[in-house]
Amino acid sequence: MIKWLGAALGAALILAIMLLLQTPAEFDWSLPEDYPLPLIPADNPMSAAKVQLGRMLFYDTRLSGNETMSCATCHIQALAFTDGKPRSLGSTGATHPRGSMSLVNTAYASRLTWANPLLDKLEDQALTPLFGDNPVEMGLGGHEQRAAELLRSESSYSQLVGKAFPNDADPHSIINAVRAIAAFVRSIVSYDSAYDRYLSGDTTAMTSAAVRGMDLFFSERLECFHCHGGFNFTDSTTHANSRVDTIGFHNTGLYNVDENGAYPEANTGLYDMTGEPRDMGRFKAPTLRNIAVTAPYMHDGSLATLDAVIAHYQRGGRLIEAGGDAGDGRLSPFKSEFVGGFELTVSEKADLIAFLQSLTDQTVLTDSRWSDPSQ
Amino acid sequence: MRTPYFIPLLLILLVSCAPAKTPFTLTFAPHWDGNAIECTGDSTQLTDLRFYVSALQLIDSDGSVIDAELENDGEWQNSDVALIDLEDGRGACVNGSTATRAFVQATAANGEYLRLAFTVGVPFEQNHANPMSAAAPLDDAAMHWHWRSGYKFLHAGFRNADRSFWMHLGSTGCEGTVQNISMCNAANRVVVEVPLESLKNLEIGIDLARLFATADGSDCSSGPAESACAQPFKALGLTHQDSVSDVQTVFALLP
Repeated sequence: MIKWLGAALGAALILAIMLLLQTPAEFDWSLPEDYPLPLIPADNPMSAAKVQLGRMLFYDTRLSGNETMSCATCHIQALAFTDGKPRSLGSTGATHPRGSMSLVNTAYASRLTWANPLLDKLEDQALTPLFGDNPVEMGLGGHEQRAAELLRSESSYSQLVGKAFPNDADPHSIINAVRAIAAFVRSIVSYDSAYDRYLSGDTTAMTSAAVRGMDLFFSERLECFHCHGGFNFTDSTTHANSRVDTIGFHNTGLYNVDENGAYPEANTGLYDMTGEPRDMGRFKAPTLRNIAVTAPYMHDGSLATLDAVIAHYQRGGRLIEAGGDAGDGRLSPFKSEFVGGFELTVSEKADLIAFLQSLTDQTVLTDSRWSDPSQ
Repeated sequence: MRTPYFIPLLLILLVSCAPAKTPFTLTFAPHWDGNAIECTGDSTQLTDLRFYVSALQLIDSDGSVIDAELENDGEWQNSDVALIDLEDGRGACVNGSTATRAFVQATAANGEYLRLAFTVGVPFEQNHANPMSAAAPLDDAAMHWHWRSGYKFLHAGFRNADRSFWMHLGSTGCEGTVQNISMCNAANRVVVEVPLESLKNLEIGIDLARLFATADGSDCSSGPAESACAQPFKALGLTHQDSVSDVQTVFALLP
């Protein structure tokens, strides 16, 4: 009797150990203690193997129709995963109406891309650059099987894919390729800027100019923090302990082409998604982390420098004097109440720029966890 | 003597064994001002024409509406929606596919029908499911709008020596999130209704000269800000901003 019980217990123990081995280890985010954990979709848990698989796919040009571009073509690590262009170019030469957004801290984004209230998961968002045809970005439409074939036939992928998706009978699918890329992109988190080190007690981490700029940034006079607030410097932020998703879209008075607040037809922002007149020109406030390396600025790259961006907000809207987009954005009826304009001296402007530069995180721009694995 | 109760039952069984349904085929053809056009040609060329058909119905003399059944062939149509593909990837159809499909295969209860109706579009229930795990014909990535959620109900385009235009039609103004859409303010499904003489030789002409009567030089992706959408939307019986219409003029039964 006792012998049987011992055998049963032993079997149960072996089973439990097997189950434990099957369960992927908790993903190591390496976040500072006071940083919140990102919210992860239940059907795509993080694992080191999946992130590694996603990293390889992210840098693989075979995920574009003509094999000329990868995700990394428009999302370059040294530029905080932007591309330095006003508006991005697709694999077949089409110009996107908007600029490439930084992928840093998208794990914390409550909504993705510039102005889409529907997109809350990277797994859904990734399908547009892969398959979109207006404009063509990676142009994978018509090659739907290629990702699955890569995962199955290429040895560097086939070794990882089973570890990344241990519960799938056949893990070789475009859905899993997209999940792996999403997991890799989620892993790109920034927490090691001079500002972060200053907050954690290293008072020498920021220059005195940057500290003065920080006070200006968080002042009611400049109002920057209303939209670019919180640890991620955007009001469209969520995380594992969020009680509510905050989602913000704002018209900053960048355009007013018809004196009724219209934006250029190809770039009307939230209005294009909802058709609601009040949504004209409303875009998401992007994170300001690493903002100093992501020029040019705004959704269409129409402001070349941080100096120009601050001048735009200082005036309370942009004046375009001539051309098809002429108009005074300051007078737009749709402009955010926080873009009222402000006085700013030349030295204060330099301080504010010094603060924005203190948000640059050299770790996220250089760390091999996020670099091209073939280099 | 006992009534042989099984005799009426037997009669009913015999009647129900007779074919109570008629199979029929609805064929589509692209036209320009009444003349057939294709991706290749000397004057006006097709650059794209693909669309989803659903809610195929027949209307009899009493005004009763009978749902026709789509035959699920596992490739071009399931029991709710069929994909029509009238471009063959040749000539001006540069982003097209070589495979084509010009017809819907359906069955309907026997009857005397006066009108036929169908919808160009994917039913709401199927429109916002995950396209990456959808079965044919909803597995065509080229026909999906990942960023708006939902399928492109219609791709259409032309070019000639004078002008060119293309449009993608689908639901806009959707609310919720991509995998959980609650409703779309502009559903943009096109309802077509044509008079009928019989279920034989049914062919619908799609006149792109009507769809794109004045459209020129630009394109329409169904966005509310796209002024170039107003004319084609009106031709499809759809509302776009201040342009209101309720009857489409593009699809017509050919004699």
